[in-house]
Amino acid sequence: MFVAISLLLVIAFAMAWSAMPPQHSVAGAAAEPFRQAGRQLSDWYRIHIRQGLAEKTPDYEAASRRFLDADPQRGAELIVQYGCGACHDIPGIRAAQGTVGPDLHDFAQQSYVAGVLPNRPGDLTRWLLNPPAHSPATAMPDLGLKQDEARDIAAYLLGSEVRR
Amino acid sequence: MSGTSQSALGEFGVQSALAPEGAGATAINGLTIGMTIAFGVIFVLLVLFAWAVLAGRLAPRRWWIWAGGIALPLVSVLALVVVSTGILQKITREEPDALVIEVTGKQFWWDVLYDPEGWALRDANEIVIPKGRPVTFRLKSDNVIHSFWVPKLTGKMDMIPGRVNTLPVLATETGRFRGQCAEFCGLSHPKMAFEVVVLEPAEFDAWMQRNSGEARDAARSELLRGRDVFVEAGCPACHTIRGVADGGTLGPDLTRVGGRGSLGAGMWRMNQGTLAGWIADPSAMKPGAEMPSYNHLPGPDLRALSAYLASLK
Ligand code: HEC
Ligand code: HEC
Ligand SMILES: [Cu+2]
Repeated sequence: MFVAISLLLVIAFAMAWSAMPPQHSVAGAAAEPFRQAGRQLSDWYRIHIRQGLAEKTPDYEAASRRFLDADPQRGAELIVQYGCGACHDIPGIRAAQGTVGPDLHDFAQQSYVAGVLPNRPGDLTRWLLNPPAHSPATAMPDLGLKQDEARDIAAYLLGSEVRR
Repeated sequence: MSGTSQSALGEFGVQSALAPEGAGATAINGLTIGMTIAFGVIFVLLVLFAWAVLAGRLAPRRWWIWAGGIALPLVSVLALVVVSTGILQKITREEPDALVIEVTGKQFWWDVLYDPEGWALRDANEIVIPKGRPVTFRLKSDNVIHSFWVPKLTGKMDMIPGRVNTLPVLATETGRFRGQCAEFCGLSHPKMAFEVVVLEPAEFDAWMQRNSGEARDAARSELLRGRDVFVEAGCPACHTIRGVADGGTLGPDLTRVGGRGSLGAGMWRMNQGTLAGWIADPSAMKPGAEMPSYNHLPGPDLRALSAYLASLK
């Protein structure tokens, strides 16, 4: 009896699953709350515990959030949208493995942006808004970013050290 | 099972046979669901039956062998053959007045020729079709076997060297639908996709009108510089930009490259940045792409060239 019922359940599940629109995968739906909670927990840890404990490992993401009032998560989405990965290897961005420009892992530890501007949130934002204006012979084009977009991307890149 | 691909493109045409937007895909989806339900029911009945026998509630009979072993499979398989043959007939029937679009599979991109006997408008990597008007794809290959598959529109069809396969399509909804090469064809086979853009018929006619002429003129001095770099760097050996350089056929037609939704056959979002990255190092973005790297171009030239290509809409 038990076998029959569990078989029935499996069949019903398989049929319902195959009829479902693809965006609503069961596994995806079930995993989402856990993923959310995990993200919040790790954010909380980074901001409240790690930063408080060790001066040596400043939390760039929290810092950039504070300095810039920026949203690094949106920055990550913009990096995907603008296809920066065509030229840069960027931590945490799938398919961003370009070799045309510098690798942006540990970018936050660098002193200069493209060797011409001090690596601070404001200057990085300025670089992203118009690279050729700061370095006339550069290969990196002006991608037409808006001020708030550049700021969010800058926040993500400066947080890349903690994201490894 | 996640339908929205988290590729470099972010939100990009969806590719799912379970959410059809074309006559063929709708029929195939109906068949799939019908079959799953019918055979699910048969399976459940069989399990219940076996359980009844094993639990001693039914005494076995000899005629069961005839009924369950011969009659039932015969009837169900026959029904399956009839229904699926009918659907196959329906979705492969060609309309005599359909718009013909010739698509040739390349490594690893798609050459597109609209109305070969009439307009003969050449494009690549993106196919624009009208909604509600029958279209016949004429599918070819001049290298290895590829397979042309737009799951939301209809079933797949192979592209075989030396043969011409036809695939009728009737789109029932406007939108952008992703397609994919479905037959292993080499190193970057997984990076050989494309988009089908379905427009209202009137919009489609306007689109054909607008795109059948020469490429858009370079309006600013940077764009003019970009056009010169295109010619000087030798790109016309492989690429055509109508009105600027004709004859190159080894690579995709670039006459309206900036107007396509994606770069590199459905792989990257089209913009100046990705274009510049592509020109400087195609094989980093697509291993095995048959285009040389132009990382020797000076920065300003690379920027001008990519700005020019992005302006070709
Ligand atoms: C066409 C290729 C290309 C694209 C697209 C591109 N970059 Fe760059 N990028 C470069 C090159 C080349 C450099 C080095 C520039 C220099 O030193 O003058 C660079 C430099 C940088 C730097 C400074 C790195 C360092 O080590 O100093 C940052 C940060 C940066 N890019 C971010 C971005 C972001 C964010 C995007 C997307 C919005 C982007 N890039 C798009 C080519 C590109
Ligand atoms: C030897 C032939 C060859 C030369 C020379 C060449 N290309 Fe290409 N190009 C190709 C091929 C082949 C592809 C398609 C690659 C793929 O998607 O697999 C391509 C793709 C492209 C694409 C992407 C088109 C699309 O719709 O995605 C662009 C843009 C491009 N080339 C620009 C250039 C420029 C600019 C030059 C000159 C600096 C150039 N190419 C020189 C062969 C060539
Ligand atoms: Cu393929």
